[in-house]
Amino acid sequence: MLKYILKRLLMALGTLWVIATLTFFLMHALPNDPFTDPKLKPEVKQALRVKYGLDKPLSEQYIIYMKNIAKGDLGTSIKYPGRSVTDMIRQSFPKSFALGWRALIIAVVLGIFLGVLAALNHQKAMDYLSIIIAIIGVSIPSIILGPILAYFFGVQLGWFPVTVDKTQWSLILPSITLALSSLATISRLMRTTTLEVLGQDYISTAKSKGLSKYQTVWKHVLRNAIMPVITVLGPLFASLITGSIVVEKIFAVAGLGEYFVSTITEQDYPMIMGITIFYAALIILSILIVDIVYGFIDPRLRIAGKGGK
Amino acid sequence: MKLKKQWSMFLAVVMIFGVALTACGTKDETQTVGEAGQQTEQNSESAYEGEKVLDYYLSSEPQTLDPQQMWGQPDIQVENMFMEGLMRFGKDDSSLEPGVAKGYTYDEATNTYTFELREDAKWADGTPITADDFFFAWRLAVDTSGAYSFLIADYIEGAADYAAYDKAAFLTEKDASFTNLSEEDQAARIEAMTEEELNAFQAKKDELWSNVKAVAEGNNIIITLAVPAPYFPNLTAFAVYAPVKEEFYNEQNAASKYGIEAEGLLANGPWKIAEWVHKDYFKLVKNENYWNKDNINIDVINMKIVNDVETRTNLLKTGALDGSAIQSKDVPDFEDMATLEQLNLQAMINRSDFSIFYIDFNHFDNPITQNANIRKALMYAMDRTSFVEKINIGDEPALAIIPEAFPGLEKTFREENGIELFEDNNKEKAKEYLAAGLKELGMSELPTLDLLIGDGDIDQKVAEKFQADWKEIGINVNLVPLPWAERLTRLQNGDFGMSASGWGPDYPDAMTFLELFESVNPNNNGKYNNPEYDKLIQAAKQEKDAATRIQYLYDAEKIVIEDAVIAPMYYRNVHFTFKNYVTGVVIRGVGATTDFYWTDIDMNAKNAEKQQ
Repeated sequence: MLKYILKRLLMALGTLWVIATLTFFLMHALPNDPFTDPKLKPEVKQALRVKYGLDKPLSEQYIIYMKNIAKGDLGTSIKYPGRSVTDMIRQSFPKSFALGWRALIIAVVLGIFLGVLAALNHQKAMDYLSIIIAIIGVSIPSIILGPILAYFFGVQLGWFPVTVDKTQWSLILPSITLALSSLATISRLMRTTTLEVLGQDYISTAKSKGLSKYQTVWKHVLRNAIMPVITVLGPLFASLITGSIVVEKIFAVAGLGEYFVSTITEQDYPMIMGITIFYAALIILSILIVDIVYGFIDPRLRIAGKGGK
Repeated sequence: MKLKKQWSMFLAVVMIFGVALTACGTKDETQTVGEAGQQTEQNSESAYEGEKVLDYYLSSEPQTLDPQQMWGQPDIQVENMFMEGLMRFGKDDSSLEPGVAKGYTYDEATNTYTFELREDAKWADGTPITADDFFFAWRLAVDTSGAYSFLIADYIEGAADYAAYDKAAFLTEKDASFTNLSEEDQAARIEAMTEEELNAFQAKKDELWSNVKAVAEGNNIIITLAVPAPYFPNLTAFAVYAPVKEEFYNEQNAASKYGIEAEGLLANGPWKIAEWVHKDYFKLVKNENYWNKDNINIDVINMKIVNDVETRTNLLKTGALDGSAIQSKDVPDFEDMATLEQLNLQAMINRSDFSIFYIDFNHFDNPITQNANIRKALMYAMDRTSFVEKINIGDEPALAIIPEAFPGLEKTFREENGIELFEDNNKEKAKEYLAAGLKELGMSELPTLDLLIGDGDIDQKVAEKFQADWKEIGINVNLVPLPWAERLTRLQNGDFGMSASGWGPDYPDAMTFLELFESVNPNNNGKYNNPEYDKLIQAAKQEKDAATRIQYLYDAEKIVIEDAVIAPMYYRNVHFTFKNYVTGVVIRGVGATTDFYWTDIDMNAKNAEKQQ
């Protein structure tokens, strides 16, 4: 197992290097550079280019950047002069994470529950209700849902603050907003796989053995039906905890989400690189964790894992 | 629940600042809703002994709070709260208040300003502010090529020479063949400078700095200007002219905190920064070492960073903010007296933010837009009046260049040079110009023209309105939405006919707009090149007599319109509203937009509203 993890980690490094290299050359292929503000005088722009080493040939910049990365130095932001990329990620990430894990729990718990409920009541009222929720969840983007929740529960009813502050209470609306589309995805997926499992022979066997409906669902259906959900959980986790620009904007969250868009329009090169590498590393890591978790849930994979070198 | 939360937050604020919690708490707990209503009627806020807390917002995270480096708006607004230069921005757009200097005198014969420093001006750490703190800051601004360092280099006698002398100049002086080297070799040579050379360079720099005509004499700072600039005292209120304490700077800069963390900021203004949680919020508290602290009423300013305008409106409605800017779309809503009354808000403040938006024409690489008659046809066809009534509600039609309310010589520039320099929406005249233009071009009809615009929804809406106007006189315009970096590339390459642009002032003088069309100006996107115009601008820049000088600027503006160098669209207005219990907020167009220097807040009324 340890050998397997080590091998995977080594592969992850390779993947990261490819992603970093691609991003580096792609972002430099964008027209112009970070210093396009007409308020900056040409001399000032030139001085800034020299300061950030952008006057050097691209290949040289690449080598310098890669050397720094190897030392763990992600550089300093151009948009926010003097602030280190590492610090900026470190300061913002916890705020996105606080929303992300809550959203993930809401999405997973409710999603699985709704999906299973729908499958068990196939083509009955409960099924349709779950489908409606799923359709709403997929089709109402957070840019619509967020303001509706903020206006109704925040402004009209006054139950929640309309922006995130230091209280737990204020995290509820944004977490729900962030969770909804994932909740819908998970419930649809869960419904399909549960229906599939319910048609399997071993379920009939279990039933004929005299197991109660709930025992069957708990012991046999859920465990088999949940596998595909676990698969999507890795990337989902990574994307939820790194925040969403929309949710963060609506609820004034000082998170990471905004950077995924703003750094590109501002061409804040070190920040683009930092955020890309950070996100990629998170995805790779969560996929790895999911793969390990597989082993615990599905004994067949565990054996394969052990057996394979 | 909500009330409890806000109340506890308020208490937390009180606790932190060491005011006896019990005393304050009991006082307010006994104040029931009914009582509070009476109290605000009879007792003034003087009856309130607790902290006066203002809840406001910032529209985005400042890029930096290093006064010498900043150029964006949220940065400048915060700077004006915790820093102070020789002078401060006054209550209206051209007036000034004393700052670290008690005042100034001007000697016309030598073009010299003398600022008298006050003895009681201190840094937040209690140490006195000296003339050297200013000189250090100004040199720092030039050395680090701060965005607004030109406000120092271009104005103070000798500063331009200092700024221009770099390592390349030093090496060229040493060995003239340096200029023959390739760019890369030059860079390598600079990199390879010996210690001896570096010392010699530094010595030369020091010598040049000693020639800069900004000197201390007793309690005075005496500044000789290189150019006539009647607005110079206003510049000393700008961030780039703020003082820096050298010792503090060196310490914090070494720790990589200067200007980017709360600890890396040393205040000398009315408030100091107690907390700065990046992208989240600011907490400013009154600076007890500020010389004019007795006239500062607000003890604590909380500023949450909120990008989204809808979110700000929500916060205003829930009472989490004591005031906010109102976006154009919501203006009709907040003009409604019933809404204002329900939310306990004052009537909106509407004013120009001194930005003008216009269409840039290509004057160098496009035969169609190079034709003055075609440009005039486009300019006259636009219906700006209906545009500000239907699309950008609350803005003003631009029928000249310098925005409404922008200061002129004695009155506003617009009052002095005419409100309208051409007629809005004259389709007949437009058609005549179009016919004349087509004749000159030898065409029977114009090909479809491209108009480069920003990639936002609003850019699209604005452009669509004028697209329809042009269509009416038979000019087809195709809208090309592009991200800014790409638009800039096309502007630089001359790969355009028309482009939507905007400009706001850098300093409170009409020159900041009119020099845009000088042939050498880097922001002259269309590369308009008119020697007669250049001559006027240069004459204005050299003229010492204020009345003659402004006459040059009046003439220059008229040329821009007569020649249809650009087609003005609209002047932008901003709209603000504050709670009834807040008084004395100043909103201005140049410098820090929102200023709480003279603000007071009736905390009894504020707390009463929160109890409801």
